[in-house]
Amino acid sequence: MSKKTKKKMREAFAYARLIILGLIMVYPLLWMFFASFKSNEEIFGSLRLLPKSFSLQPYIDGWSSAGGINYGKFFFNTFVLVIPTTLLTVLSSTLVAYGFTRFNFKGKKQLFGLLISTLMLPNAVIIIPRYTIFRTLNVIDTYWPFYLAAVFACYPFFTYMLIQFMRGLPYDLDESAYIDGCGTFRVLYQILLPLLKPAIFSAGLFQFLWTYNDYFNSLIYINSVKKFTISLALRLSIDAETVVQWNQVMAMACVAVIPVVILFFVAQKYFVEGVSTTGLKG
Amino acid sequence: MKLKKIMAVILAASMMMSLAACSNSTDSAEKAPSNDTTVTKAPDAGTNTSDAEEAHDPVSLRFSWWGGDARHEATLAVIDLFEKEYPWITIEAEYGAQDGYNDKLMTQFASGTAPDIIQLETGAAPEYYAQEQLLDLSSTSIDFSNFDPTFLENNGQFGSGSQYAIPMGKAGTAIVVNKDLADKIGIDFTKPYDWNQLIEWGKQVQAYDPSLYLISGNETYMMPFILRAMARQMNGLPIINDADNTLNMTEEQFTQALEFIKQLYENNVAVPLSYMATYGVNNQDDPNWIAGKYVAYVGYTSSADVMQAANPNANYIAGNLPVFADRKSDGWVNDCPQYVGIYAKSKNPEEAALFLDFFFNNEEAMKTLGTVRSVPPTEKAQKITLESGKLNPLTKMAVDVSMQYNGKSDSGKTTSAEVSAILCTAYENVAFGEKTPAEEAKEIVSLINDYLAAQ
Repeated sequence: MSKKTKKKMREAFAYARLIILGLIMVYPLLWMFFASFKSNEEIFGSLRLLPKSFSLQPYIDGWSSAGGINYGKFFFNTFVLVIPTTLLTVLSSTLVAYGFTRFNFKGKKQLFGLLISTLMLPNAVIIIPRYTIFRTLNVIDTYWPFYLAAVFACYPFFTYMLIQFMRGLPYDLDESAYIDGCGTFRVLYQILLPLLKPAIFSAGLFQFLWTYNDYFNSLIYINSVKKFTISLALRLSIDAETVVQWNQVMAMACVAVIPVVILFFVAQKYFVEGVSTTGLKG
Repeated sequence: MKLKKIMAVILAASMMMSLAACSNSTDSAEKAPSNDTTVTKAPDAGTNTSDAEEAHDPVSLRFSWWGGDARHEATLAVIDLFEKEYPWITIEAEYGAQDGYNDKLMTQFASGTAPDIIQLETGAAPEYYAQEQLLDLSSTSIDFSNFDPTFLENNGQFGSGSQYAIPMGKAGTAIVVNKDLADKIGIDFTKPYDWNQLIEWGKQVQAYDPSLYLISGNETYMMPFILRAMARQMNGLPIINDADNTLNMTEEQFTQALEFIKQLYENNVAVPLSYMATYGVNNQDDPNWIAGKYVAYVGYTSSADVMQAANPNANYIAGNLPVFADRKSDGWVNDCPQYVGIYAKSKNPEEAALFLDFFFNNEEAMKTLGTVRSVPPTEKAQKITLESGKLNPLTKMAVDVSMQYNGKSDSGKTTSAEVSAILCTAYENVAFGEKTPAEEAKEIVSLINDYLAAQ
């Protein structure tokens, strides 16, 4: 065996291994996709991956939900909720992180301690007080509970992550910028922001994913079905006392993961960069 | 330098403020019609008085429920009917999945924003009643004459003598029997039998084919099926005496009941709990049920049709329920899968009562609702749904079977979340063989006494 064929063999083996691993990883998604064409009996009664027949009917039936609201509306709602929340989170967290890392002020240590302590509060503990605050502000059944939390950097995890990242950026850069006549804001957006890009992208991506997938908060704050997001809509037809048409649920679940899959492919570079530079994993 | 710093702080603050400010203004504008229940005067309310009907200020009510597609569609249709008849009332439907329903409701109760009309879980309703979140419906205009008085007394009065919640359907414990398999093995669920007979049958099934089981039941349903029902049969009373916070069950009685649970799992009469746990209460998804490997399923009448639909290849009947030979009461009760109530802080209780009256007493509404909330609670509605062919025969049979027993509901402290958790843990410990029935009985008595002492 020549060296060349040996190398090729090794490559083939490596690729085969990767392909098998990859298939194992995407298997649940594949199963969900094919399950959308199966009948209930087929889903629960057989282990076969491929359905007996393909038909678009579950997608058509599933798209319109009870009460004449269709998934177009639910998708629209989801983006109206998720996109501003993500952008505002990134904006506010960056500002707060900038304040904590680059400025000295009275009580900074205590405030930082406070920030970290809110990081440790589980969601279940703060949900009722938070709900009460938002009720007083009269914003229940709107998306403002999400926006407001984002505006005021109430996602301590991202703030903390950006603070840690920004601490790693040398202060010399700021100083040289000050000498050249930059103001404090210009230092942030012209000097630090470009360097923060990997951290900001990973914060944004994860906030997008987490908000998109979030069920509990949407459930608590949103009452009207016409304002439901995808995660709430997907459960609308699941109940122990009715016969659930699982193929329709699966069909809509397939549609629901499309934006996330697209996002992953488009932002793949940043995912990897974000994970390697911030140590944050999804 | 210092000045710049101050400037920066002010700038940052003003930036945040402007964001927040614009948030508030747009919000109040778009929010106004959405969730408030206050009465807003229509501009032309005064001019319409010439009509025969008296003029009403428009009222908007919120109605929340959980369910699946069929229930959503039917309930929305009834809301439409109602709005046509009472044009000044708008009902905002807030429906969703049962997942998280109670969490949300508790949050809303805690901050006074619960919907006007609320579908309630039966286990949670007594606690809501105790917290005074529910309106006394006997004082409203709702007509209860179509209901059976004993049924009402057992369901939704919580021992108060007034109706605080209305049962939305009739249900009871049901044993869904795969008749084909039962006949093959020679088991007859249609005759009266006692608890020990179940163990005997279970052994018979295992002897016939070790891969088959007599009973498939999840922990959530099996615990009340055995522990609470046995308590009612032994004493004719619930486990806990609500009036003076004492136990009606003795330690020996608990031991006896737990001994039965031990037998059930030791002899493979029931499917192992570890296997059942995978499916929660969604036992229609269990491939072994679909493949027809269980003789019977222990559940409620409301899930009978779902279990039937999961494996359409078999014939099903509703089996009789086990009783002790020397019982003080049959123990099996007719209860309901869910209640509906009116929020005590509702601003428009009269209109909410109008809606519930329509919901339960209007024939068109009965026809539309069919059996989306189990068998309808009134005799009249049952007749209408049966005639329209909407009542599943198996469901009807299951309800009829459960009607022949004379038990009394144990809804109250016995069904509270804490006591249920204590009993479920006991059930698990014995089923998994971690503790002996005697040890566990002692544990239950001491835990429930602790709970009662704190009441």
